[in-house]
Amino acid sequence: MDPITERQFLVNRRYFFGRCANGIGLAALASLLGKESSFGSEPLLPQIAPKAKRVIYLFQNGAPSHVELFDHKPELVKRHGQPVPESMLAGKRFSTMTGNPSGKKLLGALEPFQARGKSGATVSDLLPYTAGIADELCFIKSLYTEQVNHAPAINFFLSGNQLPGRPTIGAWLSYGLGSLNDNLPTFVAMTSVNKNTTCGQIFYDFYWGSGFLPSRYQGVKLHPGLDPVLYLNNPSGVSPELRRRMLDGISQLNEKKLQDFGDPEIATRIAQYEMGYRMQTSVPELADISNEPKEVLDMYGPQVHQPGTFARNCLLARRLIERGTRFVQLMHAGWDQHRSLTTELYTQCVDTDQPSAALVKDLKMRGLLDDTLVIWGGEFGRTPFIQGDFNDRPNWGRDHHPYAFTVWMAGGGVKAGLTHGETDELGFNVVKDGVHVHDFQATLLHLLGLDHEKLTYKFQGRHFRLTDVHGKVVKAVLA
Amino acid sequence: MADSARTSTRPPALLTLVGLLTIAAMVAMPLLAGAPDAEHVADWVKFIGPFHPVVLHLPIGIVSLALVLEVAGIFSKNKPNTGAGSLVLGLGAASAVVAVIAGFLLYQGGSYEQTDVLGRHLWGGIIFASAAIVTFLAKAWTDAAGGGSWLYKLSLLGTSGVMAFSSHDGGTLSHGPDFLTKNAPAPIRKLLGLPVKEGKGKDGGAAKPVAEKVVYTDVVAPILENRCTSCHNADKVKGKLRMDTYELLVKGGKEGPAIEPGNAAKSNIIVRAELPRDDEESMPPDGKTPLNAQELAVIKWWLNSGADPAKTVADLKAPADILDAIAKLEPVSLKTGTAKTEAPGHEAPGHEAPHGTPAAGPDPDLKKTLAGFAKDFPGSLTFESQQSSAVTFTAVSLRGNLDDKTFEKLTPVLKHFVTADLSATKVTDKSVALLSGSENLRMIRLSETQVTDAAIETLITLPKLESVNLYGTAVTDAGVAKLAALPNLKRLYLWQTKVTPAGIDALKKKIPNCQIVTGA
Repeated sequence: MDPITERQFLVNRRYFFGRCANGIGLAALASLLGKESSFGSEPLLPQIAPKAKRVIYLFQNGAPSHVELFDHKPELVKRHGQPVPESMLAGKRFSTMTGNPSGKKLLGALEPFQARGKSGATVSDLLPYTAGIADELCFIKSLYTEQVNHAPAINFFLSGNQLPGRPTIGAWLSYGLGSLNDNLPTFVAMTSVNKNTTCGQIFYDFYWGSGFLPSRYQGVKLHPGLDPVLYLNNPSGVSPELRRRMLDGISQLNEKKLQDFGDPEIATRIAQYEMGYRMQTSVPELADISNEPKEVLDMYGPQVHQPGTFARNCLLARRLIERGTRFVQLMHAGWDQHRSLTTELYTQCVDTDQPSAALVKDLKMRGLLDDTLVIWGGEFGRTPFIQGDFNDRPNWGRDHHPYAFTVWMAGGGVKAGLTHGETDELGFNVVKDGVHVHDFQATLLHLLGLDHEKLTYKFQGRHFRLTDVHGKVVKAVLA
Repeated sequence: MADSARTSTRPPALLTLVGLLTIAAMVAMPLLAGAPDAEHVADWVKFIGPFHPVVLHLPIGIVSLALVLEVAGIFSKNKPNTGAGSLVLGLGAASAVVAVIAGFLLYQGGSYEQTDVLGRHLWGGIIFASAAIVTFLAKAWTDAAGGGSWLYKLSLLGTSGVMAFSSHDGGTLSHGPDFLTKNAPAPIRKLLGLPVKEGKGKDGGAAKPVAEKVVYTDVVAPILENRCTSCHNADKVKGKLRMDTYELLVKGGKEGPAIEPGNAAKSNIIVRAELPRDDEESMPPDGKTPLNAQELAVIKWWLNSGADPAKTVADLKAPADILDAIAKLEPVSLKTGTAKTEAPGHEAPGHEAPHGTPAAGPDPDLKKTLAGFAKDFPGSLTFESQQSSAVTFTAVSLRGNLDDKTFEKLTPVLKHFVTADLSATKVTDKSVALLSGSENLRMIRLSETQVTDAAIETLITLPKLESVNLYGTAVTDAGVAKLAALPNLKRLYLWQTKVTPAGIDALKKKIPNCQIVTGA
C-alpha cells in the first residue's frame, strides 16, 4: 500500500480510537455529572428539620476506661483483687494481650466517683471540669462495638466498617448536607500532640477519608503546630497577584483536561486549588487567637497557648464551628493504658478534661451549643479486670474491652443531663438499653436531619450507607 | 406422527390407541394423586408447575387457529381442501396435554385455596385436552376415509367451547373474579347486567351518606384494599395471609387470625401497623405507604365494636371523632378497586413525608429565587428540610463582609426565614428592622454585631422567636426587659453585653421558662 495512505489510515485509526476513548469518558462524565448535579452542586437537603447543624467529635483514640471515668461500679471496687467471674466471660473474645481472661483479677476504679449536678450523673474525680458541666451532657453508658483492636474499631466508629475504604461520618455529612462556608473546608480533622502520651497510636488518614465518595468530601487535616496548613503562605517573592495568575493558568489547563477526560477527580483538583487560595486568607484569620479574651483562653487551660495541644485544637474547633465548618474531628491519642493506669491516665485526664469542658461551656455562652453537637468518646472501653501484675501497682493496666463503654454528647438536639443505658455491677456487659455503634451513627445522622437509611451512595453496584444494613436511632437521647 | 397420519389411507389405529390412553391417563391423574399437599411435594413438581402459564397459551392459540382455518375453509370455495390440517390439530392436542400436566403439577405444588373454580378449571382443562385429542383423531379418521366429516367439525367447535370456558376459569384464578369486566365502561357493565360502579363519576365515592355505609364493606375494606391486599390476595399470599375478604381476615395466616373482633389491641393487623416504622415487623413494609392516623382510628374502632361485617356506621353508633375520621379518609379509600384518585393535589402513595405529614417540598419558585442569591451569599440560604419551604440563613461565611447594604438585597425572601444567623457581621439595627415581616422566625443570632436596644423593638414583633442571641452586643437592661413580651422565648444569650446581673434577675422573674445564658 502507498505509505502515505497507510500513514493516513494509521492517523485516522489512532484519531478514531483516541476520540472514542474520550467519547466514552465524556459519556461517563455525563452520567456522573447527572448524579453530581442532584447531590454535589446542590446538596441533598436534610430529610427532616435538623436539630444540629455542626458536629465536633472529640475522638479519644486509644479507648478511655469507662470504669475509671464515668461508669461508677462500687461493686468492682469492693471486689478489687478477686478473680473475674467466669459467668461473665462466656463467649467473649479479648485482645491477644489478655488471651484467656480466666482468673484475671478485678481492678476497682483508682479514684472516687461523685454524683454531679442536678442530674446526678456519676463522673470520676479524675475529671473535675467535665464533672462541672455534667448537667449539659448526655451520657450513653451502654455502647458496645464489634472490634477489639484500635484501628479497626476507630474505623468502625467513623466509617461503619472495620476496613479502610468507606467514607467517614464527616465525608457523609459533607456529601449529604453541603458546605456552609466557601472559604473553609466543610470537614476538618485535627490531631493533637500532647507530651508523650500517644501510647504509640497513629492517626491514619483514612480516619477522615472519603472512601468511594468523590475526594472533595474528605476531611482536610489541619496540622498540629504553628502552621495549620503547610505552605499556605506565598513564598517570598510571590505576590498574591502572581499566585492568582498562576492558579488561573493551572485552572485553565485542568479545565481542558476535564473536558477531554471527564475525570471527576480533576474537578476536585480545580475546586481544591480554589479552596486553597481562599484559605490563604481564611486560615490565618482562623488560627489567629490573639483576639480571644483572656478569660476564654484561661477557661481552656494553660496548654491552649501551645499550638497542637488538645486544648488549642478545642479552641480552634470552636472557631471553625463559628465559621461554618460542619464537622470537626479532633483526634486525641493516649488513652491506651495497658500498663500505665497509675501514671498516664492522670496526665491524659489533665490534658483533655479542662479543654473538653471549656469547649462545651464556650459554645454554650455563644449560643452555638443549640445547634452544635459535641461528642466525646473512644473506640471501645477497657477491661474491668487487670492487665499486668496485681502486685506491681506502678504498671497496672487495663486491656481493650468492646462489650461496654461510655460516650458523652452535648448540645445539638440531645437531652442534657441524661444517662442512657446501664452495665452490670462490674461494668462488664451492657444490661440495659444497649447502643451499638451503628445505632450511635444512625442517631448522629438523625440529629443532623438525615435518615441513615436514605443517605446512600451507589458504588460498585451497591447503595452503601454509613450504617450498612443496621442501626436504629436511639430515640431516648433525643431532646 | 402427524405426517404418517396424513399420508396414510389406512385407519390410524395406533394413533387412536395412544390418544385414548392419554385421555384415560389424564382423567386418572387427579383421581390417583389425591388432594394437593404443598408441604410434601417433590421439588421437580414445584419446578414444572409454574410452566403452566408458559405453555397454556399454545393450545389456545393453535385450536383458535384451527377454528379460524376451518371457518375460512367454508368461505373459500376455490380450494376445497383448505381448513385445519391434522398437523395443526395434532400440535394443538399435544400442547394441550402438556399444559394440563403442567397445570396439574402447579395445582399439586402451589398453595391454592380449594374453591369451586379451581376444581372446575382442573376438570375443564382435562376435558379440553381430551376433546382436542378426540378432534385430532376425528380429523385423522376423516382424512383416512378421504372425505369431510361433520363429526370432526362439531368436535372442533365443542373443543373451542370447552377451551373458552376453562381458560376463563384459569384467568379468574390468577386475576380475580372480575378481571375482564372490572374496568369496563358503564354502558358495557349495564349490558352485562353488572352494577354500575360508583366513584368513577365526578362526585367521587360520596354516593352513600356516611351513616348508611356498611363499616366493613364501605370503609374498612377499601382501606385494606389500598394498603394491604396488594401483598395479601389470592395471587400473593404473603405470610399465608389473605386480607381480601372478611372471612379470610378472621381465618388469618401464619401468625394466627388477622383480627380479633372486640379487641383492636390484640388484633394482629393493628399490632403490626402500629409498630415503629423502623421495626422489621412493621406493616406495610418499607417503601409502602403506612396507614394514616384516621385509617388506624377507624379500623380500631370497628374492631373494638365487635368487627361485625354487616353493620353500618349508624348501627355501631360511631362517635363524633370517628365520623370525623371517616370523613377525612382519603377519597381513594372510599372508592373500590382502583388506587387512582382525582382528588386535586393528592400525592401519589410512597411519596409521603416521614411522620405522615404531606410532602410539600420546597416551593420551586422560591428555589429559583434562592439560587439567584447563591453568588452574593454562598452557602447562606438553604431550605430547612426536603419537606419545607422554610428558609434558614447563615452568614458564617460572610461575617465581616456582610453589611446592611448587602443584607438589604435579601428583602424579597426575608419573610421565609425561620432561622437567621448574623453573628459577627457588620449589620446594624437597620437590617434587623427589615426582618419585621419574618413572622416565622424561630431563631436569630445577632451576636458580636453593632445592634442595640433598637433591634429589640423589631424582635418583639416576631412572636415565634424561641432563641435570641445577643451576646457581644451593646444591648442594655432596658432593651432586654422588653423581650419578656415574646411568648415562646426559650433561650436568650446575653454574655458580654451591658446587661447587669440585676437586669437578668428581673427578666428571669418575668420569663421563668426561658434559659438566660450569661457566661457567668
